[in-house]
Amino acid sequence: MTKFRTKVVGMNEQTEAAPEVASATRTQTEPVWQVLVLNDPVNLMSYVVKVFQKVFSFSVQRAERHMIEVHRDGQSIVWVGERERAEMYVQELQQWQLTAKLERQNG
Amino acid sequence: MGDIHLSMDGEFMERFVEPLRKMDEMTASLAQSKVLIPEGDALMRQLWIEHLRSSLAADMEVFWTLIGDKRFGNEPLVLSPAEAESVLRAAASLRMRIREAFLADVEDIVLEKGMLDIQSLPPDLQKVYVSYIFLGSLQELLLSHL
Repeated sequence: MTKFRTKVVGMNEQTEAAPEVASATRTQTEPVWQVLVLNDPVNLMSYVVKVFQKVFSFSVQRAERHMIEVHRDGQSIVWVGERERAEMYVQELQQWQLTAKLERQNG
Repeated sequence: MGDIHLSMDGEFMERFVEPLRKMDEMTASLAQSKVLIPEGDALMRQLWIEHLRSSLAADMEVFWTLIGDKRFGNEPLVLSPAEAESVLRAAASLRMRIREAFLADVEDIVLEKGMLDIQSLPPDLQKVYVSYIFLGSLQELLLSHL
């Protein structure tokens, strides 16, 4: 991601980023899907934070944690849950021009 | 959230509008070229791409209606938050396509950190890179208002 003039604030207070997990009850037989966002050299850090806030209603702090994880580690798991909703999130992130993909957890 | 009022110099804007329009046309086919579609049948893939295409087309229409407005530069451009989001997405798409079509040889880290020496580029690419930077600046400006 491109830093531009954007400042990342409050990072010292942050703990390890964790993906949002869908609260819907699942049985053991239902596969779990995760939404990943991959790093790209084009989108601005401030833009990615805004997209996470917009798509997932994340707080600024949480959105920044995921953005930093994408930037630092190359990817971040931003949501975990059932496939249909995960697909919807992937498509919405792609509409915002982020590199997002769907993956079966532990698969 | 209220409307966003953007003011820019008309002559400054004129330098970007037509080159960006050409770049948009030239790179239109690249818009969904790197999309990672979940596994599924052919119909699902087709619908997935069509949805992204129509969504981008709507964003680009807003982008060109506003940015291409001849009054912009002479009077403030007024955008609703929804229009600002469309312009943000359209600018992101244009930047992605410009990178893929014209700046593919630039290393990720160089582009990401803004370390590209513009003087090292041929004149045509210098204009492309300045347009790329302009779009990023426009995004930053809009993000500061949202």
